[in-house]
Amino acid sequence: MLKRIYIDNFRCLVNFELRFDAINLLLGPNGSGKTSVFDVLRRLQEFIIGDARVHDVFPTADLTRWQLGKQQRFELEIAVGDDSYAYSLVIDHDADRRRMRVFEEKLDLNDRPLFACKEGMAQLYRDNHSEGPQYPFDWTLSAVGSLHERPDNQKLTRFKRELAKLIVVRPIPALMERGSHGEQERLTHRMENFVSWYRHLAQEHMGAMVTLLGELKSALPGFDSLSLKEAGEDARALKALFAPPGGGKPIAFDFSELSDGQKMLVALYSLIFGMGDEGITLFIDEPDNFLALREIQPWLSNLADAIGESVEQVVLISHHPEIINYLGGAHGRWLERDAQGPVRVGNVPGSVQGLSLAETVARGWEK
Amino acid sequence: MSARVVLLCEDQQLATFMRRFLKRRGWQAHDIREKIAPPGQGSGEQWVRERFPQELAAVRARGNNTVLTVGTDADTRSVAARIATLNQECQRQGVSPRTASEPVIMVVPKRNIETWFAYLRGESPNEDDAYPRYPNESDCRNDVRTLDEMCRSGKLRDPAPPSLQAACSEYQKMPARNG
Repeated sequence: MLKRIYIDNFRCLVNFELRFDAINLLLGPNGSGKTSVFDVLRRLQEFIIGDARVHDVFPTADLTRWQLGKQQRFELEIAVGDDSYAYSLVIDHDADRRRMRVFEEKLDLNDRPLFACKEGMAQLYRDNHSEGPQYPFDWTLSAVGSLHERPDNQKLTRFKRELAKLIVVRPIPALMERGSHGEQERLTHRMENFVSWYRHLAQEHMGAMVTLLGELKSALPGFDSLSLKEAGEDARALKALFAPPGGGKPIAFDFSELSDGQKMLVALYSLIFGMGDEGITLFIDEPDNFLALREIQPWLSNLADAIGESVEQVVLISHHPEIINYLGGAHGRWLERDAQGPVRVGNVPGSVQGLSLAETVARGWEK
Repeated sequence: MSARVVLLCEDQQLATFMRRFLKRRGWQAHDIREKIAPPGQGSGEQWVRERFPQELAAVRARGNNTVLTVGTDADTRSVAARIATLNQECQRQGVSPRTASEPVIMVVPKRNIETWFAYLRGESPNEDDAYPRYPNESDCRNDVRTLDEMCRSGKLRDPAPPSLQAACSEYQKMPARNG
């Protein structure tokens, strides 16, 4: 479970810290940095476990415009049972030479070192925290990410596995591809590869599919099942089967024929139920987009009930009144900034007496 | 699919407990519409009480086997006294109080839902003391499972909190999902 993120000198996030619980809803005006927090998480994932180079994921253009400093700092705290990982990354930007490099990368477990890399010199520690080998390392890559699992670095590689359990998405149904040319274990940012990811789920989490299809039957009138049909060599097309009016053999519709709302429901329920008991953390930016009003609360309550089972933690961004009223009071974090200044974060202000929280926010009366 | 159970509740923890229990009993998320008092806006009990008459009127108007389930703590009052305040509010707002035959189920933990959690964990709580809250609402899942198992066996473990016994009696009015 992600307990804390710290970001300094990234867009509007300066000396910014956010702590997380099991259920979290990020609220705030447009431009208050909510999506930027998700962007940082996604980029850290790409950098550490996606083998991306630092200039591909942390370009100089994302330095805070009004800051003079050319160093960016990111920190994560991830709890696994009673253990606490602390990861930090410091990036130097040389704007004149358009060059950026990892100045420092560190990973501690319960305040004891597992790995440290500074100015291109890496120091590995064994699982018992004794010093291991020291070696020069590429300044543009994650040294933590480069390490493969060995008997004496189980704790470090467990951190990478936990990081991989963070799913950071902003689903856009219109961008979801209709078919798949292979299984994909990780979702892309806008869930473009949903069908390939679903193909992976259907292969690796077959038991979870029963639950998923059962829930989709509640959400989609007439829904029968999902099916991956051959569509050429190694290719599969996702079909949604619906019962015809009056009964009879289900009719297969191509995934691309579904409405945006239907695609969204399939994707959102797959996020909750498709991974079995993996204990994932979901970061979903505006899950309410395209959903009928009637569908939002049932999905939210299913999500809340999945906490501690298939889902370990959830962080949502939303402006929708249904979500604000359902989660905002107990689980909301309020992000705001003055003009183009840095983002501040606090608890969600109370609603005005007699008004719902969403109505309070809609009136701008939360201040 | 339309909602058949309206859950009017004074806080998230009680709503989570009630929703999870209903789901254990065969209801689905789409069957349930939750209306939960917003935190930080004064008394959740007052919020429920003030909305009870309009929800009662709406459920009556809807008919069609729709159930109103109300969750509110007794706190330091008796269960009967808390239910009486709901009926008094109906009269104040010009709505007929609920009748015994109506599908309106009052779930009134005393002192509050944490008392029932303590009982369901195997403790022997009294209904006057305050018991600790769970860090997360979903932490009540094992308690819901225990209560469901007791329901299936047809008996609460003795000595059960009287407010839980009263809620079980109220729950007898719950129709079958496919009824």
